Amino acid sequence: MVLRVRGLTKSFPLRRSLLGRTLESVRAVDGVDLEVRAGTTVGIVGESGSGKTTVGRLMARLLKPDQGTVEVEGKDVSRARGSELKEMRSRLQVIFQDPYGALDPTKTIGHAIAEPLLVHGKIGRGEMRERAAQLLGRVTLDPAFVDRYPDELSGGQRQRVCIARALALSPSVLVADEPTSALDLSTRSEILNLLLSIQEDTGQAMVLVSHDFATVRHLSHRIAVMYLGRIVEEGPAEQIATHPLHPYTKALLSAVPVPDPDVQRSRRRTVLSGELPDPANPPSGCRFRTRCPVVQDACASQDPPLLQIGEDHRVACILHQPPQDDAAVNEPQETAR
Amino acid sequence: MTAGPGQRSDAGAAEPLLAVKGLTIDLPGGARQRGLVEDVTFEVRKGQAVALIGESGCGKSLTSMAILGLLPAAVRVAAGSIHFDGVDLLTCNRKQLRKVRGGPVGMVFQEPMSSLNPTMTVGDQIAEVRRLHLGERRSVALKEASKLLSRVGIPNADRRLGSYPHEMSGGMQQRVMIAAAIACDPKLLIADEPTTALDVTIQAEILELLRDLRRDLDLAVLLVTHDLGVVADFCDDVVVMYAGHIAERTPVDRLFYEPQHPYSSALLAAVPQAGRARTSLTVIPGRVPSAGHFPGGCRFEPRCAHSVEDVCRRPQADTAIADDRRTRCGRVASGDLILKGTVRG
Ligand SMILES: Nc1ncnc2c1ncn2[C@@H]1O[C@H](COP(=O)(O)OP(=O)(O)O)[C@@H](O)[C@H]1O
Ligand SMILES: Nc1ncnc2c1ncn2[C@@H]1O[C@H](COP(=O)(O)OP(=O)(O)O)[C@@H](O)[C@H]1O
Ligand code: SF4
Ligand code: SF4
Ligand SMILES: [Mg+2]
Ligand SMILES: [Mg+2]
Repeated sequence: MVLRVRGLTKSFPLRRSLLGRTLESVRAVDGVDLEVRAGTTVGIVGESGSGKTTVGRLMARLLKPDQGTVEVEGKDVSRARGSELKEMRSRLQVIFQDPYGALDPTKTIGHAIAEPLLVHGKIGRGEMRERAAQLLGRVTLDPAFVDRYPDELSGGQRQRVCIARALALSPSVLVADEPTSALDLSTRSEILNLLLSIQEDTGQAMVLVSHDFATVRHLSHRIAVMYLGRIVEEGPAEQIATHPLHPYTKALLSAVPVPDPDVQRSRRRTVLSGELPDPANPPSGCRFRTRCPVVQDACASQDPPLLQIGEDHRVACILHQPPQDDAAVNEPQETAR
Repeated sequence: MTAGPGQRSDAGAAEPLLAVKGLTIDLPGGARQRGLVEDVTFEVRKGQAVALIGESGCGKSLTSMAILGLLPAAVRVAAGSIHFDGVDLLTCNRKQLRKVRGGPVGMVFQEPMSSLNPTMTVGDQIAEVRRLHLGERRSVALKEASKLLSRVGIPNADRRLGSYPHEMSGGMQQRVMIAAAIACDPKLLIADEPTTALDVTIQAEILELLRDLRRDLDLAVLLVTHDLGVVADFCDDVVVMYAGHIAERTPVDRLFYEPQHPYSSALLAAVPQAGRARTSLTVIPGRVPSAGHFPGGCRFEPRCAHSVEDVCRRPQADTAIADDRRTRCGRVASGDLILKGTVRG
């Protein structure tokens, strides 16, 4: 396991008293367990505000977890600081959504790409241009870009530069947060192809955070679906995409329109009632119950844990308990969905 | 979707609700650039939903702004006509256009917050549309505003009248925009990326709402979008724009199953498809040229996978290939090039 997080929890203060005490806070991530195997991609999907970005930032230790652990290549880095954190950063790199904000407009592309190598003492200043040019080649950009500045590049080219920089230290994990969300349709396919081929060439593990299910499905081996700070379902990508079990996953998938008119016209839609509840005040019991189309009486009092069902699939819903607990609840009629 | 002979004469007889003909938009003055939008021709019939698609910078927003008489001050319509309900909007003065906008033509944009007034309650903003267009008194208009809020699915409408936009979620703000847009029973709604900033679950609800409104009000919709799923879900006809031209204009099914322009087929192939996970997607090399850098021949030529000498180096004409289809690819129009859809048809 290249990356493993256990019981990750992170709250952000919303309101403070005059003396700086937290009066109200939002639990952005609330007990997340996830594992990423070498050479595979795990996609994290969910509506905005579900905590995807926070999970990504915790994994990359850009944030410190309140509780829980982050292990990179078997090493617990949850509380790492200083040189330990720096060492960990060389093993795990992040790509952000906004390729404009991510690059310093006053530094050349070559500098941006080779800087991590310099900072980690892997190369001297004199080698920066050459290494940057090599890395540009890996993301299929003209090596001559080393001397250009970010504002001379298109959005797609900048995202390639960010990917090249993330690859510089040959990390074992890449965490990509909405890497294509700011890009146009045609540029998006270029970046998706690039991420695929990088993984095929180098066997890097990836965590892909995105609100776009089609993108996540296209790249991921496994998919984790988040709702209000929790993973509600996790399993092999095709299984999640074609046979989702959690009512939220079902609803989310049914809301994604399929680019095929015949198929789209024949699909059944599950319309969710209402919007995402206030993350600072999640509902009691199952957090999804205020919008769940198959909500049961018991859902108000039971907070279903994420349980393994079947070999390779985890679900947090009282309707999908592992076999031994089956008798406790009634399976709803299929037509109710 | 292909109309039978009987249907066709019907459709032919009825004048389209919106007819854009030969629309050309230039950037005059020092930075002079011709043909930001050039020779754009399409129609929207009563109750019909037409998609306007293409990468950013292809002229979708300029085209829809021209219909609304809201073009940026820097650019100018150089040629063409825009007939709405029989009247050429391009010959209307500002006062007449103000009557059209928010009246028979409603509009919704991507960022509701940029169109809503942050200092005014949503009730007053919707009521204002009715006061302006129908001369209603405030109290009457507010009652109507409450009905409109309920109509667009906002619970506790009476109470919500007094809310300010920032007190609402993005999805609710977009519903308020739609309520204002339909306040005076429009015949046409122009929606520029109305769901792009929203979560898919909220997008699905907004599209469902627009579908209901189409049915109940016989409302036509011109929908600018970059999401081919939304096109397949919501639209009857599609206008594909590339570099200021219409590349293809077609009923929606045919776009997906038998595209008639290399740009359309490339867009389709660039989108992830179910069952083809982790395979390489088609890439359209290069990028949309900006005005002033358009190639002399076919504007798509530098990026086209099917470009050939001679033919493609000449400007291409917008050509009818069926009653309800047009393409600006000479190779397709002549039958020399046959394209495949990416999804089965
Ligand atoms: N720095 C922060 N300060 C306060 N609240 C935050 C911060 N970052 C995230 N949040 C809150 O945490 C929740 C999860 O946010 P985020 O991880 O960004 O979700 P996602 O990426 O799924 O949209 C949201 O309610 C968000 O408002
Ligand atoms: N106010 C303006 N001044 C100059 N050029 C403009 C202006 N608005 C748009 N353009 C140019 O016109 C072209 C079409 O723009 P637009 O209609 O906004 O495209 P789309 O909506 O398809 O992304 C682009 O090349 C854009 O740069
Ligand atoms: S536990 Fe209850 S409310 Fe939650 S998803 Fe399952 S059925 Fe719905
Ligand atoms: S005219 Fe030629 S270059 Fe233009 S779209 Fe057709 S095949 Fe491609
Ligand atoms: Mg995020
Ligand atoms: Mg636009």
